[in-house]
Order: sequence, then C-alpha cells, then structure tokens
Amino acid sequence: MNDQTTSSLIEAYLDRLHAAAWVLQADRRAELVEEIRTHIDEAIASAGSRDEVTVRNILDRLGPPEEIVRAAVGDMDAPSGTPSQPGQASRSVATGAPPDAAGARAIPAAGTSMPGLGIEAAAVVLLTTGCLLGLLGWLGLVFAMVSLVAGAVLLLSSTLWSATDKAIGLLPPLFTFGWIVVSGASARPWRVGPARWELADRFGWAVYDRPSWASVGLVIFALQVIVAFVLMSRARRAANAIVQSGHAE
Amino acid sequence: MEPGATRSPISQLLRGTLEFCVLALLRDRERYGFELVRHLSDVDGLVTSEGTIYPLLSRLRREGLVTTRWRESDAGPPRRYYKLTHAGRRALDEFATDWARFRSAVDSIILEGRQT
Repeated sequence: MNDQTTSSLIEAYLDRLHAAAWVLQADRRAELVEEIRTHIDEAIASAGSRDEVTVRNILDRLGPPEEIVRAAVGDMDAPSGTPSQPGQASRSVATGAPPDAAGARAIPAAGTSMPGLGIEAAAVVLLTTGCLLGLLGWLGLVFAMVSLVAGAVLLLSSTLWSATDKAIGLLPPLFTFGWIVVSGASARPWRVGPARWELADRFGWAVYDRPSWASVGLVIFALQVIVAFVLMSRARRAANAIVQSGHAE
Repeated sequence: MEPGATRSPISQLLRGTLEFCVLALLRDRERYGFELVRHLSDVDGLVTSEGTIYPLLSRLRREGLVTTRWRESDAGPPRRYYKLTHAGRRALDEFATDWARFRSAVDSIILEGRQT
C-alpha cells in the first residue's frame, strides 16, 4: 500500500502497453503511452488518493493494454464506414489489427516485443544458416536439412509475406538443395565424420577439383543473403503498411 | 476482457458510433482528454475500456474533425484540449440526421417483429 507499490503497478502497466504497441509507428506509440500516463495522473489527482486500490481500479477502467493497442490498430485499419479489404484484413491479423476472431492472437502478450517480425527473423536466420551449412557441407547434412525445413515452415506460416515473397524466399534453399544433390552425387557419397575434417575435405574437393561447383555455391549463398535482406525489409514494410493504411483511407 | 466481448453486435455498432459521441460532447465547448473519457465512461454501456478512447481521439485529430491545444491546468501538468472543427461539426450534424433515421428504422422493424 505504499507509494512504491503503486508506482511499480503503473510502470508495469505502461511497460506492457509499450511492448504491445510495437506495431504502431514510433511517434504514435510514444504518444499513446504518454496519453495513458497522463490519464493515470489525472485519475489519481481526481480520486485524491494514491493507494493501491485506487490505482488498481484506475488501471482496470483503462482496460488491458493489448486492447488499447488493438483499438489503435483497428482505428487505422477500418475507419468507420470504410469496409476493410480482405487482403488487408489477413495481414492485420499477423500484426495486431483484429476486428475478427483471429485477431485475438495478434496482440503480443506482456513482455514480448515484435513477435510478428520474430517469426520472419527466425525464418530468415534458419534459411541462411541452412544454406551456409549445406553449401559448406559442414556438420553433415542433417543440420542443414533441419535448418532449411524449419526455416521453410516458418517462411510459409508468415502472414506478413505475400505468396511472391514466399516463393522468392524458397528459391535459394531449393538451389542449395539442388546443388547438394548434384554436386554430391557427381563426387562422392556424404560422409559422417568430424566436422572439421569434413569441412576441409569438402572445401578441398570443391575448390581444387571442381572450381565451378564452389563458385555456383558462392553465388547461391550470395543470393540467399540478398533475399534475406529483401524479405526482412518487406516484412517490416508490411507491418508498417497497417499503420499507413489508416492515413491513406 | 474476453475476446468475444469486442466482437459482439453492440460493440460493432459502438465502433462506428462512439466517435460521434465524442464529437457531440465537444459541440458546445472544448474539453480535455481525461474529462472526455470519464464523461463517456460514466454513461452505462458505452465504454468498457477507457484506454481505447485515446486512439479514437488521435484519429479524429488526424482526420481533422477536432483540433487540439495545450492549456495550463490549475493542478498538475498542462492538458491537451480538444475542440470541434468545421468539418467535425458538419460530420456530427450529418450523423445526427442519419442516426435518427437509422434508429427509427431499426426500431420499427424490431418492434414490428415483436408484435407478430
């Protein structure tokens, strides 16, 4: 019941709000948090008391931070009288605008930030790692395959990327897979062995015996790196598009 | 707050109506955010989560239906006051007309259904 308890209650609430509001543009996010903070101050002043019960009631009346953010995103997504587009709706589910059932999932839980882009980032990292491992023949093929498959699953499950984005994202991994099959089959069977030895072995063969395979592998990896950057910027833009669409309409 | 609560027919209606309640509160004088929020929240059944009104106010500002200015307050930090613009007043008048027609239309159907 002391001042510190109530202060930490308020700060925890505002932290939750800030975390949930990642989907908003930075200035709108800051403004929203500041407005809610002002509201809490005003409410405390008008209640004339700062005890725990008062503060808890004030926060309860404000509602869950996630719901406030949902209102902010919903306001941008579907201004009154403007029916939202199907494509827009499916994207907003991923990033947190939710007039519909699936929307409940969209707003991040307390403490997590940017889960929407988290899936996309994980997909890109896994795919890039998988390509690198596969092209180097490092640690055997198992790790490369697990990484590529997991990355592909995440890639396909993302709701921020369009079908075209996903197709582009799958190209380098498919090239990698093809490269492994063709280069591996034309050389020797894959061996299980100490990672360092196998790396040296593969590099030795690739670089000295069949230089063309090494350069093709290099090109594939360069492609993967470029695709990774393109996909991440497109995911970020898709998340921002929800914010922008409110201004446009 | 159960997720279902935000999708009920009434909350769908509120989504489009609440902003005009805000505009109506500003018809005669400017008000600051907390004042608006508490006013709406004190009316039963209009607002479940007070915090959701702030994004609405922000949108009304961006759409040019209200303007804001900061004013010193007697107690505490400066307050942001909201004031109706010409466009806001026009939108409010238009809605008031439409709403009256809508309300009596729905009433006539619902009450008619009840009698048969």
